[in-house]
Amino acid sequence: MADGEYWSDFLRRRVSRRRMLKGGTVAGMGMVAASLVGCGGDSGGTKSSATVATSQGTPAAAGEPKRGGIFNTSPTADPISIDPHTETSSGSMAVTFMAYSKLMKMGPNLDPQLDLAESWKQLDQKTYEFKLRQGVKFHDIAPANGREMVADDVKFSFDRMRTNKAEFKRKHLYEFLDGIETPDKYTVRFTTKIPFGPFINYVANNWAAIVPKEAVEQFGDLKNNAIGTGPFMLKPNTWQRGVGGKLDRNPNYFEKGLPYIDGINLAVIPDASTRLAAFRSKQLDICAPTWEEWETLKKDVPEAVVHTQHGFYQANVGMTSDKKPFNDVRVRNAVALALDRQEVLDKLYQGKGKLNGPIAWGLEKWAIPQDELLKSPGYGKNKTEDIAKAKQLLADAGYPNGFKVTSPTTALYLDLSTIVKDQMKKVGIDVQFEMLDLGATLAKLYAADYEFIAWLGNGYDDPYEWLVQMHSKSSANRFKFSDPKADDLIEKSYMATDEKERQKAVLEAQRYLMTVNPMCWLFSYDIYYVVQPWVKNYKRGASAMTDAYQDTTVWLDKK
Amino acid sequence: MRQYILRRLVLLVPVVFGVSVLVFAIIHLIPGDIAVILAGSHASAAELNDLRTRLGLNQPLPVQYVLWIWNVLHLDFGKSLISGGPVINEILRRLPVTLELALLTLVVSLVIAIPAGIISATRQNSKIDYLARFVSIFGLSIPGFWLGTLLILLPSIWFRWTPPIRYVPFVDDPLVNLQQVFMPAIAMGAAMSAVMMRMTRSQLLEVMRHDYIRTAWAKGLRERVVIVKHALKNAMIPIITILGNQFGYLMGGTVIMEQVFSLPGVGRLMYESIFFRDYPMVQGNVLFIATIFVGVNLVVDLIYAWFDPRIRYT
Repeated sequence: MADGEYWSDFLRRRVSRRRMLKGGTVAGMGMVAASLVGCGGDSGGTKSSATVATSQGTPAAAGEPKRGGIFNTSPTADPISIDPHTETSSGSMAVTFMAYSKLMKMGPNLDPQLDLAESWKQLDQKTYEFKLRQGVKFHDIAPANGREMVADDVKFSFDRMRTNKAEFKRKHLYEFLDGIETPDKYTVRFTTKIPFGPFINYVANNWAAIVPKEAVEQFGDLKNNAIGTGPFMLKPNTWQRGVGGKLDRNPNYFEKGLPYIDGINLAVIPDASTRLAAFRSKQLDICAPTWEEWETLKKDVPEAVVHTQHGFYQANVGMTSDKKPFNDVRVRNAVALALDRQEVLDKLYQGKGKLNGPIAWGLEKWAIPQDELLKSPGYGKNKTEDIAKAKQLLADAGYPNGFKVTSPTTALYLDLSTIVKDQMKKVGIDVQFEMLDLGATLAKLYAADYEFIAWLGNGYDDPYEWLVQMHSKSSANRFKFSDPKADDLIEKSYMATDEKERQKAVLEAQRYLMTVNPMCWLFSYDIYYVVQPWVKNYKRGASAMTDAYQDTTVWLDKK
Repeated sequence: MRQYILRRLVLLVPVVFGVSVLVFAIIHLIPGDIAVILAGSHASAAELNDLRTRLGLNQPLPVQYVLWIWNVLHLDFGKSLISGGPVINEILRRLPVTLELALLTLVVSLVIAIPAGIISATRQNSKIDYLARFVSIFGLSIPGFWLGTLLILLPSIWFRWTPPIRYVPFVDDPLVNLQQVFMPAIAMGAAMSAVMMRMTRSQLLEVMRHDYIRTAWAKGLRERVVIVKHALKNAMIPIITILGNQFGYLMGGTVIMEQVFSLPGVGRLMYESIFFRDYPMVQGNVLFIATIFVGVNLVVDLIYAWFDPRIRYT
């Protein structure tokens, strides 16, 4: 058959169903196979001329703020409850920080600033008086219905924070708060039991939200609703666990003109790589990659802006001092000497971060200065000498051949624990792991029911919590540590109300603690927030505890 | 037939009851204290104990079980220990998501598997048969989570596209919903189709050897009629059995896809609840899934009768 005839013949012929099926299946399987083999388009050719600006607390761009737009974000964890007085999870922060305001807020340099309070003064060592802004309204949502916020609301909220029930996780911060008086509608007076230096910081604590009494009375708790005085509002019954919700701009926010954006779209995306993918596809306006992830992400979103923030998450090693072998200070000091903190930081976080003393380096106001820290025992570069010294200390304490300890650990801390285990091996300490899940591991840690443990902890915005966990009478003492001199110095550090005095006392306490090592402090690593290029004026302060309201002053440069 | 169905439904009761005892025992045996998780690091032992009493966890286990099952019989599944909301609300909100995903997965797997299986069987040992078997081994070996992660990552890199964030139910916006669900359905469907395809192929091969098929050929019927009308129907019974099993597996096995694709289904709910030791939620969830599974098996058994009139239920 000649060619020409073949094709006209082919077209005229009715293609039988069998042929169609055959052809279609082959094509289909071909496509499936091809896509699975991944011979797809090549993303090469995108220039990594990444002009990635890093910003440390300065506005990202000039220009007049534009109104409007929706900011798309995803909390790093599913906020199962959004009650500001019981929750601490990063997920719930996404809602509570936007919907509620506080009496004071933490400024970018860890300096408390005014928020709902118009002014404050310290009347004497144990009394503080706050004058409230007038005309601040709660959100126009039932049952608060837009009524004015007054002194009674502040009293109610602080009393609620101190509710003597286990789930109110921050009541211990207010255990030295004695009474709250409301002499008039706009004045609140706090008295403390002892002179308490951290008090103002805890009034400015990100979770010290002012809530309306009616909401608590009507709903019983605040787990699913957020009616406050904040820059954004959450419509009732719109928050869905596992899905997210939408926060709308509060038109009656007491700072006129703010916020600029119309709303925040909060989508719960539990998987980290899915979040990064959504950032690539421009569905998310912000993401928080690790440094390694950013290196990969950079090529696909070269115009994104990176903000670095000193993390407060710290790597620590804990020991219980009430029994052998860690009841001997020489043994604990040996562990502190043997730890190669820089090695762990390099291996886990590519060296992005700095070493810690008893207070994380990010709290520059309170932490031991880096140059002094790096000269302390165990923090230097000469690890061979440190290991030799550690072995000597162990021999003096009666363990010339080292000893065995068990350590509970979990998947989340396994990398850290493994590196620490290898380091301990070098001085003869044999760490045996007990693999548990996260809940069980934390339970053991909190109950001080372990011998040795390496874990990643949260940070605190005031030295009080950093240091009080080593006080013998504190419920936060996870080390069964008891040292009268330490107790004394720690108490001095939180009873000083003058800031300069306090700084001196805090440093002195830290220096002493580093000689007795109830626990070992390793490092805090940097956190990166990456935003799309059209997100303007995105600021991050000195640390994760500051700027709860960064979304208030953000604006979107989109058409 | 009616008596048969009734009898099966009555048998549901001891099954669900047995499941309830099992899940209650197992979840309570896992070490870990929800009070510690709820209370954080500063709570004293006394406060933890008070919290446990308030949550009803300090009573002896048999007492807790009886209280719970008694409420369940009154259709009260209790409140989540973590979020405080009624367990049943959370489950009913999430069940349609997983059901939709499971159904779509089955559809995808059948759409791929049945034609592929037929081709393979009728062209046994030809090149196309080898190709189909190769692809199916591939599909069987690929870990679902790997495929799922690729399906999220690769479109985001190549086309700067990801499924719309924040889940939307089908009834609210079918188009957005389907965009969110079709990728995990394909990921899981592809893996499952491998199993179905091989089953179809081997069943058809067996059936095609029978005499009645030879009669059909002898009568001069077209290939399509012989295969679909005569052979396939007889081959379907084991395939339907597997389908029922797979559906049950899907009800719980969608956890990873739900995680990767941010779908609020019962799989993810179960995982979170176990992690947090949210006992009422885990127990309620398992009861639901067990009931659905038994129901699906009943439906599968009834479908047999439709395919094969020789099966009679008395």
